[in-house]
Amino acid sequence: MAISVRLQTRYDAANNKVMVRPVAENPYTSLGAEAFWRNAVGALNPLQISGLWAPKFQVTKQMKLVTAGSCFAQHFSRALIARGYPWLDAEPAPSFMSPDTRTKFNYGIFSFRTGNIYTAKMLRQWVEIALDMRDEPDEIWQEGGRFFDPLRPAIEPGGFASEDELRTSRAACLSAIRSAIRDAGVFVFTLGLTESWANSETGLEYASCPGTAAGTYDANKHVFVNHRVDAIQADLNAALAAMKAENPALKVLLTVSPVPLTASASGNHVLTATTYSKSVLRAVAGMTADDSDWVDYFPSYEIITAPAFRGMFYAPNQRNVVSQGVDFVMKNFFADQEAVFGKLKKGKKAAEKPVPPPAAAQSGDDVICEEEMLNAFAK
Amino acid sequence: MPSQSEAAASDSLCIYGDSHVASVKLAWDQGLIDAQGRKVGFWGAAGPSFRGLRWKQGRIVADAGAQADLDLVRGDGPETLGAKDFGAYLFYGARLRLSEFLLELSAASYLSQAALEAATWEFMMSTRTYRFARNFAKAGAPVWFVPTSLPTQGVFPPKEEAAKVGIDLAPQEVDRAFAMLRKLAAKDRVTMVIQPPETLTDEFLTRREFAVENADAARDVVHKSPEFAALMVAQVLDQMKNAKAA
Repeated sequence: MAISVRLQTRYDAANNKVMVRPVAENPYTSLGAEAFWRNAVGALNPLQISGLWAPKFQVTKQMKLVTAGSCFAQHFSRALIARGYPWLDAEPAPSFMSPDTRTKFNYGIFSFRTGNIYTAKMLRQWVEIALDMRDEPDEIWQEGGRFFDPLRPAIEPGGFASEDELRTSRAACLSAIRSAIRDAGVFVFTLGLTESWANSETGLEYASCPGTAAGTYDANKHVFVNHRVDAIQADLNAALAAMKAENPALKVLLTVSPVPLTASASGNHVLTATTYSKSVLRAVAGMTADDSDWVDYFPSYEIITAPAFRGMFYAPNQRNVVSQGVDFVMKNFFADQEAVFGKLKKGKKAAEKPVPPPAAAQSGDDVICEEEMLNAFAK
Repeated sequence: MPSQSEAAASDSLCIYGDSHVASVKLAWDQGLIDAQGRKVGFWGAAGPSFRGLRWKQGRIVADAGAQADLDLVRGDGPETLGAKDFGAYLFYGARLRLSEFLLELSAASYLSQAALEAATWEFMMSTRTYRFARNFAKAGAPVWFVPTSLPTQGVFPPKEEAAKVGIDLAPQEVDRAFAMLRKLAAKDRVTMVIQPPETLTDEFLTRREFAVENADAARDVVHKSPEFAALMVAQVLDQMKNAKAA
């Protein structure tokens, strides 16, 4: 009978000897270096830590990428665009609108103009309204003759000119969400918060507490909700299932925002409230990814927040993530993709832009003109 | 007391533009334009030379490379152009392209009135000639602007035309966009004169009857006939007359 024995060697510096001892086989003996803190983290410079993610599916340049969620998702979309990935802008501004004006009016921030979608419940609301699974809310906030959308109160600087304009704009946003869901190869969603505010009568969850970005706070009508794991899981599952039903080829990549809470209404210190909120979201993201082969979790949250990284990616306010942090996150994203799937093959990018007008229509007055002028003016 | 030349200039009209100004000149030569006693001068350059016309110390001047093309258009008109050289100015065509404006809007999502205003302003200000026009108006000159007309119907094969020139906007959205161009220009004291609905097809193309001569052979979807130019200039002259009467 053969017995498998593995030997472990260790240098004993005090006695200047190499110690050899047998190690019995167990589940840990066959694990890679990434499974052991000492090798994968403790012995490394933080910037050498790698292989944090074993992606389930390849993200290619042929897949249209949709981004939504909390603030950190914005960094994701910018990094994807910079690397030539076809990020889907389903609600585009005209090309002649300047970058500053686009930002002011919230174009090009996410794949559609919802503004930040901080919670799983808000994602579910948007998806279900867009896919006609629930009615649009009647509630609209009015202030100083301007109109604000409780689903996205900060989307239009200074509010909309009329209720009609607000509804037309929201309809365009809902249409963009529908087309983004249908066209997406990968839907990247960044979970941001567990804390939210809702209308106690209708159950409508707001994007922000009434009276902050817009609206008027009414203690009798507006309730604070700190979502728990089970509720978030249910909302996220419902939203993802609705999207998958609309687009069976859809893949979802979840991330958790590493940006701490600005403020907590939970009654707890904002630091402990942040830990609670992020821990819950991290757990839900992990469980959702574990339960499905078309949903994955990318650990941008850990890359920024883990003690091994010593807070080096935070700005001095310990909240904002500096650009080096975003770069490091995205470097890991692409490196981990390549480690599992190999280098991306060069191929045609999916067409995002509408077909431009023909050269003649665009600049015909540049090229078809000399004869015109000679005919008219040369006498 | 104005000088004699200033008095003479006060009743004159300068038509400034790129190759589109050729159709105005042809209309003028063919007697299709009744200038109502005004002295009319032309100023500008075609093709790449148009981009050689620049703003310098309060006047429009030509780069060396654009000089010959400018000379062809201006004849014995001023070598450089200032706001006081003529009594009024009509910027014609001059790269403020309605097709670009509408195509981009049709590719974009819905814009609120505030977003449309911001975007339209940026579109206008990105066109050098509009900035010239605005500067002239700021200096007190009466200024009109006729943007480059929409592409001509049927010059390209229908499929190509539909794919590349198609403007997918509801008529009310086009009206809203044109109204915004007019409103913002008016704030700058520039009167924007956009081609009237009777010159357009339902697909927002310029009607075939206004095609430039030999449009099919040259595949020239851009330039228009002298009759079209006469129609546009007549609108401007009527407005000038009404403004003077008022």
